Amino acid sequence: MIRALRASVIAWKEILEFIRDRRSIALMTISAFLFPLLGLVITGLQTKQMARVAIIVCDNGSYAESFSKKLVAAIHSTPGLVPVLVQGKCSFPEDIVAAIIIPKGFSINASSLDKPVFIKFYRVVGKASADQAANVLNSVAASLAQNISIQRIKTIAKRAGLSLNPNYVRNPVYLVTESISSSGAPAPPSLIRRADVARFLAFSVFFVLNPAAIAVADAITRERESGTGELLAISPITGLDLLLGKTAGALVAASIAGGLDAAAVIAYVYMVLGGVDPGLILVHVTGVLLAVLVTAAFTMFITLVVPGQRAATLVASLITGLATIVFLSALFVDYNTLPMLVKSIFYSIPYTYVVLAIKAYALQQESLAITYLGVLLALTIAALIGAARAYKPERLVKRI
Amino acid sequence: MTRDDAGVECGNPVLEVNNVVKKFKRGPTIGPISFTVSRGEIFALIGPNGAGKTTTIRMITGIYRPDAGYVKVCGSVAQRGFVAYVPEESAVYPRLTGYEHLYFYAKLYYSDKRRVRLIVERAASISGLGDNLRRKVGEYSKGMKRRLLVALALALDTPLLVLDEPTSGLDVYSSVEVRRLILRAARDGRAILLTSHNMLEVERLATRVGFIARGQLIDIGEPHVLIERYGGRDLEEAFVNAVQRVLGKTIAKR
Repeated sequence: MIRALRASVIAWKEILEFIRDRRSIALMTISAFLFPLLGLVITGLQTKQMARVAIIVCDNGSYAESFSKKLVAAIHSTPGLVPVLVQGKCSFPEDIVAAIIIPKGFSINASSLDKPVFIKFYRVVGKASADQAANVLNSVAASLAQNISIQRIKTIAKRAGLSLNPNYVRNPVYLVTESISSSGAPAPPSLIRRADVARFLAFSVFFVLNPAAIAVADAITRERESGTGELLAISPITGLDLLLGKTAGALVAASIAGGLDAAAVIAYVYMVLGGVDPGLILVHVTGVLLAVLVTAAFTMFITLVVPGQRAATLVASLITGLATIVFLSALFVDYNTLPMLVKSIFYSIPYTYVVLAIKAYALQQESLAITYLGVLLALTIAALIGAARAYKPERLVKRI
Repeated sequence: MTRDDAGVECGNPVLEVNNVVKKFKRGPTIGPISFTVSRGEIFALIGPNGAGKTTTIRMITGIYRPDAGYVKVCGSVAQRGFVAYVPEESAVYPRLTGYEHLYFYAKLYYSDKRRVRLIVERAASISGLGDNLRRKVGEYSKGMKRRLLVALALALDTPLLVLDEPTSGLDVYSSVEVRRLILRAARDGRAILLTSHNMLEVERLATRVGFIARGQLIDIGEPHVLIERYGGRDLEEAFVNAVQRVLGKTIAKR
C-alpha cells in the first residue's frame, strides 16, 4: 500500500514534468505526423506541378490522330502534367519537360504488316516530371503496340485461312496469381489489404518511438545531473518505488505517443486506403505503448548500471539505431524466413515483437499477436526487476 | 515505512558517526571519522574543497555505505526518512511549482494527508515565498530556490537536519533569515549538521565544529576552544593553523 502510494507520488511528479515539457510533446507530435505528412506533401506538390509535355504530331494518318488523342487524355489525367498538342509543324514549343514526337510515316507503318512504328521521346535532363511523362507514354504505347500486333495477327491468320485467338499468339504464357492465408485458404481482398496496412503500421511506430524514447531515456540521469537524485536517495523511497513510479510516469509519455501515432496513422490510412480495422489500430497503439515502456525500463536499467549523461545519450542513440533497423525492415523482411542466427538477433530486440504482433493480428492470428505483446510485457517487467536490483542510492547522485 | 508510521523515539545522540571509512577506486580514502551530534546541537563540518565533507555527508544520509565503521541516526543504521537534507546545488524540478515541490517531498516522507498538509503549510510559511510558490521553480532566482529547499528541510521535522552550504547564493537578508531558522530548529530539539565556507556564519551558528582536511577529521571542539587551541583571530585562521600543524605531521609520518 505504502509502496503504491510512494510510486504514485513519483509518477505524479513525472507526469507533471512530462506534460509541461512542451518541446518534447511538440517533437512527438511532429514526428508522429511526419510520415503521413511527407506522403501527403509529396503527393500534393506533385499535383501542383504544371509540367508541360509536348505531343508533336508530324503525321496526318488516322493512327497518329487516335494515338495523339489518347496521349493527350492520359497526360491530362496525370496530376502535375499538362499536355501541349502541336499539330502541323514539327517543332518544340517552349518551357517543356518532355516531348513526344509522332513522326511522319507513323500511320502507314502502323497499318502495315511488318514495318516498325517509331515514337520519339525527348526529355529534359534533371526533370522528375519527365519520368512521369515517360511512364504515361510507356503505358499508352504498350496499349497501341497490343492493338497493332493483334490487328497484324488477325490479318495474317485471315490470309492463311487460320482461325486463332490473337491474344494467345501474342501472350502464350499467362501468370495466374492467387493470394492465400498461411493456412492455405484463399485470402479475401480484405485480408490482403489488412496485411498491407499492417506493414505500414509496423513501420510507422518508428516515427513516434524515437522522440518518446528520448523523453523517457533520461529518467534517471535527469535526476542525477540536476541533483534531485540526492534528495530522492535519502528519502524513504526504495529503488522499486522509484522505478515503478518512473515507469508509471513513462506510461503517460507512452500513451501520448501511442495516441498521436494512432491519430496520424488513422488519418493517413483513411485518406489513402479508405479505412482501417479498429482492432488493428488497438494492437498498434498497445504495441507503441509497450515499446515506449520497454524503452523506459531498459534505459533505466542501463543508466543505473552505467552512470553518466553520456551513457543516457549512448543508450538513446542505440535505441534509435535498433528501432530504425527493426521498423524499416518491417516493410521488406519476413523475420520468420531469416537464417536462425539473424532471426535470433532480431528476436532478442524487443521492438521486433511490436512488428510481429501487428502483422500477426492483421493476418487474423489474434492469439499469436497477444502472445507477442505478452513477450514484450514480460521483457519490460524483466528489465524493471533488473533495474530494481541494480539500484543503489549512490547511483542516483553525481560522482564527486 | 514512512516516519509517521515508524513511531521511533529518538534519543541522544541523534547522529553517531563511528570510525567510518569510505574507499574509492580512484581518489583518496576518507576516514576513519567519528563524531556525534545531539539534540539541539549545531555541528559544523568545515574544510576545503575535496576534504571529504560531501563523502561524509553521503555516508550520514545513507547514500554511500561505509566500507568500515557505521553511522547511526536515532540509534538505527537505517537513516532513510530520519534525515532531511539541503544539498549545495539548487536541486529542483524546474517545471514544478513551489507548492508542487513541497507536496512531492512531503508525500515521500509522510503518508498521512493531514500531516502532509501541515508540512506544506509550515514549509510555505518558513520559505516566505508567498504567491511565488504558485510559480514554476524554473522561474525562481537561486536565492528563492535555496529558501524553498531550506524551508522544506526544516518543515520535514526529521530528527537530523543536514545542510550543505545552506546560505550559499543567498543575499544578506535571506542569509540572516535562514540562519534564524536554523537556530530555531536547533532550539526545537533537532540535531543539525552543516557545512559552510563562511567561517563567520559557522562561528555564529555552530555549537561545535569539526575540522576536516584530506579525508581526515583533524579536531572537534567549540569554536572558541578551537581558536584558543590553534591560535588566530578567528575560526578561519585557527583552521589554517590546524591543517598546517596536524596534517603536516601526518604527511611527515607517511
